[in-house]
Amino acid sequence: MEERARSGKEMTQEKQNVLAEDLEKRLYAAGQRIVPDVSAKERIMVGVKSRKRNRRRLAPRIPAAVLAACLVLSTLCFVRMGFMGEDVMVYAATEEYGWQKLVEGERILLKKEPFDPYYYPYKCTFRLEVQGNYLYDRQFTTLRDDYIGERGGIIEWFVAPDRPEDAGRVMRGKLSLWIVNENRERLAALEVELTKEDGECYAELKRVWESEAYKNRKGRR
Amino acid sequence: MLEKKTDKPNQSVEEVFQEYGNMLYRIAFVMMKNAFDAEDVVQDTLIKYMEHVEKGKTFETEEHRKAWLIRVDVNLCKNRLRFYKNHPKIGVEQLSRYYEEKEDTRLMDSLLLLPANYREVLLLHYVEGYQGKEIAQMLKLSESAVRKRLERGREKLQELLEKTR
Repeated sequence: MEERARSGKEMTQEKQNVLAEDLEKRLYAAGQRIVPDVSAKERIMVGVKSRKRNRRRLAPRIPAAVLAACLVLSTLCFVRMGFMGEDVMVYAATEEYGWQKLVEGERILLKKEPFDPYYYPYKCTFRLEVQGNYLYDRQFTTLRDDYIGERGGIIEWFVAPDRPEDAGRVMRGKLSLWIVNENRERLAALEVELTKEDGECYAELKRVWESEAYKNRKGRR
Repeated sequence: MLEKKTDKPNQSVEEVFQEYGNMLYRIAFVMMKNAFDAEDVVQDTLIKYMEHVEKGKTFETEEHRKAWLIRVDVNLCKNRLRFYKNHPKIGVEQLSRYYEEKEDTRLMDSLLLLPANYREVLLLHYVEGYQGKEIAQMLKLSESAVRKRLERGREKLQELLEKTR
């Protein structure tokens, strides 16, 4: 009896070792894939040579000309959600209505699902639907100690505990999501404002943008 | 680890970047959770390296040079994280650029959910292959603290992987 218990214990330990070993291998392989691309390497070396440091670059690196073009385009093309049609949709998990589609200008209360009691007591979930086979990249601005991750069309906002100094404050962050093509060229953008207020989490679709190329592509479908 | 005397005590910054650039970037990315800060940190690390060499300081072994670079890289990340702690809005996160497999994204997402002190030791041990003693020297921690963080970090990572399934 005792021997059987011991052998069971050994087997569990063995299984755990196998799991740990598997995790280590996967971690190694996944970690090794994080490398700067060629353009990042060039930017780093240019920066090193010119000895520019500590720029605290918080915004994506977009060439000034492209940024200017985007601003002009966005002024011309910012549209109501209706124009975006059914091509790109963001749904948020809510307590009251289940998955609720985000509509521009409407702030909705998000469902807080318990997650990790210590680091991230709860999380809020969004579901993204992009018609067609677009790749998408994302640019997320996070709030304080929160973390936002995305996988396979599901976006999760992991909410960290509030800090005492933030009591009574309304915290806002913007989540921007770019729809890109196979060459990672930006085709369309969504912006969702995330707000933490009185212990509740809210989301509001602020604005959307579609490039001419994206509109043409949509029109052809 | 065998200490190999370096044949290039004053290796140029280009050579250093060629040899250790990916490693420095990987560490910075996992610490900062975004590509933009990671680039800046690597850049600042290399500038510090140039200044170090220009002051006439050399590295006796290749391992010494590598450990010095890691320490500077990690410290710069910590400085930046400290800065961001006091500023509500921070960075940009782009894991999807590296992974096509959902499982890999999930694994790295879970790693990034861990606090920075677990992330750094897990990365240095499992991805960069350093032993507890070496990590302790690099991060100026006791060996037992590193062991504890590895153990706890591994457990937390497993838990988070389960939760994000």
